[in-house]
Order: sequence, then structure tokens, then C-alpha cells
Amino acid sequence: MTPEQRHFQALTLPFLDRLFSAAQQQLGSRQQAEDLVQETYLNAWRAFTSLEDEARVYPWLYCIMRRELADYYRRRGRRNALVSITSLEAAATELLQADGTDPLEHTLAALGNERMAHLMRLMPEVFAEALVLHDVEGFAYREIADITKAPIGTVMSRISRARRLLAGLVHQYRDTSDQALRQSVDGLEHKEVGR
Amino acid sequence: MNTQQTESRVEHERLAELLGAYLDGELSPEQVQVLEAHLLACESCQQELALQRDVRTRLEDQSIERAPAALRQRIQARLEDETKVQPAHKQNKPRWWTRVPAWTGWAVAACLALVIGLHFALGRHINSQPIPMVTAALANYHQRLAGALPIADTVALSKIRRSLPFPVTPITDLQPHLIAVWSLRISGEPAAALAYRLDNHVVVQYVVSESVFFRQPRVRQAVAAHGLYVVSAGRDSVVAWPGPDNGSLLVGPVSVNRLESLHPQEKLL
Repeated sequence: MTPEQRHFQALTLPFLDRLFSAAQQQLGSRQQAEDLVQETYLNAWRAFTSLEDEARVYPWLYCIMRRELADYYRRRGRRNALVSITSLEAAATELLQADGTDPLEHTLAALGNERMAHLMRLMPEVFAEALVLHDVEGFAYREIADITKAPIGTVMSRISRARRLLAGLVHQYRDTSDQALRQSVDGLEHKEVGR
Repeated sequence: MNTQQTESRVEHERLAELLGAYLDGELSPEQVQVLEAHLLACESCQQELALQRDVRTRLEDQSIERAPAALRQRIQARLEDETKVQPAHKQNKPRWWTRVPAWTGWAVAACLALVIGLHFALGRHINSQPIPMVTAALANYHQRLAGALPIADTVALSKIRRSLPFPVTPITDLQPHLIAVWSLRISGEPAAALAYRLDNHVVVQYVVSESVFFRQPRVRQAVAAHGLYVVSAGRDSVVAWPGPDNGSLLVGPVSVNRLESLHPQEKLL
């Protein structure tokens, strides 16, 4: 192994878990997430000279993975309209007006990680991505704007709206079993692949 | 609706759009001032803010999925191959989602080798199955340490203490070096995290409820036999011990012995 490669690995491999987790959140398949992350590392190595600031290695890696992911979605076609945004907005409003003390907090606390990931995969990509980047990954708005090449105002609006949509999904699918929800996600993604 | 009502409605909608950013601390002081004045009188914005907070809090607890050990080895092997044959031009290779995974055979072998290696490398109390609270603490440690840490102050610590049904007891020797505190959920229950500077590292004490701490038989057995539970996971060590109505897990990239030296009950406040 060359010194440059050792340096590359020392810089990037500490972020393997985070990249894998983000990929898994968005793809819902361990195997696909592994393949995506592996390809990301190879592409990152080939583009290592483009890393200008080593302190920002994770956003740089995430950008590379995001391009790979976008390519994957473009080839396969995917979920731009898996759910009606209007109906989710309405469900969120209904939830806010429901009786009881903060029912959403209790409902969310009871949801498992897998169910949360399934619900997020029902959302349009840009919104799910906004939540993964900010609330799960902990990127700041400015970093998300850099990664997604979107104006900061758009980032702000996407995150806020995405939380409403997710609350709407939680409410809309509150009586759906985990298995039925998984089938619902798989079925929709499968249908999209076949178009 | 008259002109004044229309203007008020437009202003409300404009401010409601900012609630997520307000919660995330991404607004200017001037925007915060205007929004907080509006929030005092607007019930629907108060509800919307609660929704934003509830969703964010839940997603912050979404645990990090650890990458399979075999993936790390596979990536390292592929990177070494890349060095041997440095492509002059981008090759027209099949994409990862269409490729038959030719590495499957040796990846399984590598995985087996790693599992066997880990069995010997990991600490004296670890078994083949990870303990959920330890996995959650390690995942949170890596996630938090990779980003900016929230600032520790007495108000933040007091607020977290008030919100938890069990005592949060900082480690005496480390308390002067407390640099961050935050709340989280571990094993589905609320918990607190206290980050300290230790030498040139950051270590984090995760304080969980007694029921979460004693949930796993291996922890109970280790505590009964040694007074604490110890795990080494790669570069990181975890030392866990019971406290008064709670349990603490100290996580950091230092030796088990270094962490152990900080644990004894008499050193707790």
C-alpha cells in the first residue's frame, strides 16, 4: 500500500459506518447499500486529488455517494410520487388538531428504526434526503446546501416540510402493520422499477 | 378577509416556514426575535414547532447501522487493487447494481476470519451478540463526534437532569473537563450523554436507567463478578458500571484500563 493510499484510508474509513447507514436508510437493502458504499470509496480514491479541505472529508464523501445514488435512481426510475404530498400535509394538520397531549411524540417514540426507515422511503427523495442529512446525519444547513447544490432557503424549506410530511406519514400509516408497510414500500418501488 | 387580516395571514405563513430553522438554531438573532414574539400569540405555530421538535428528536435517535466488517476488508482490498492498476482513463465497467458479486466467495472467508479474529480481539466480557445499549452508545458516540458538539452549560445539564426519571451523575475526575451534554434514547428509553475531554481525546459518559442497564444477562453477570462490564471494540473501549438508580457507559478511544480508572463509585458525585 502506498503512503497516499494509507493517508486516504486513514481519512475516509472512519466514516464507513455513517456512509453505510445513510445508504441503508435510503435504499432499504443491505446488499445494495454495501455495493453503493464500495463504489463510493473507489470513486473517492480516484478523485482523491479533488479533496481540497481534509477537515471536510465526510461531506466530500457524501457528495460522491450521492452522485452514485442519483445515477442508480436515474437508471432504475424511482419514487417521485409514491405518496400524495397533499394528503400527507392534510394528515399532519389533522394530527396537530387531534385531542390529547402531544400524541405525535408518543407515537414516534414507539416506532422502531426499521419502520421509520420504511416510512421515509415513501417520501419523495428530496425530502427524505433532507431529513437524513440534517436530523440523522447532523449536517448543518450550509453543509447541506453545499452537498445538494441547493440554495440555503430551499434547504430550510425542505427540512421543515419534510418533517411535516413524515408526521403525516406516521399518522396515515398508524394502523398499518410493519409487514404490510414493508410490502407497500417494496411494491411501490417494484412498480416504479418496471415502468 | 380585510387587508389587515390578509397581511397578518401572509406574515403568519412566512414565519411558520421558519419554524424548522428556528428549532435548528439556523436563524439570525433578528429573525429569532420576530419569530419568538409571534410564537407567544400563535397557537398553531406553537403546535407546528412541537411537531418539528418531535420528528427531529425521533430521527436523532435513529441508530447508525454499523457497516459489516467484511465490507471494510473488501473496500481495502479493492483499493489496493486500484493502486496496482491505476486506470489512465475511466474504464467502462458494469455498474454495481448490475454486477454479479465476484467477491462473494472470498468475502465470506474474510468475514469468517474477521469474526474469529474479533472473538479473540474483543474484551473479556464480549460475546458474539452485541449488547443493544453498547451498540447504541458506540453508534451515538461516532455520530456525535463526527459533527459539532452541543455546548455544555449548567442550564443544559440541569434541564436534562430534570427531564430524566433517574439521577445523572457526572464523573468527578472528569467534571472540570465537561465539554458537551445532550439527551438521546438508548434501548427505547431516555438517556443522557456527557462528553468530557480526557487527555487529547473526547470520551462520553452515557447515563441510562437501571432497567436498561441491567436488561442483558451478560451485563448482570459481569457486574456481579467484577463490578463493571468492559468491552473493547476496535480503537474504542467501553466500560459500564451501575450507579444509584442508573447505569453509566463510558465510551472513548483510549484503553480499557484508562477508562476503568475513572469508574469507581467513590469517585462519583
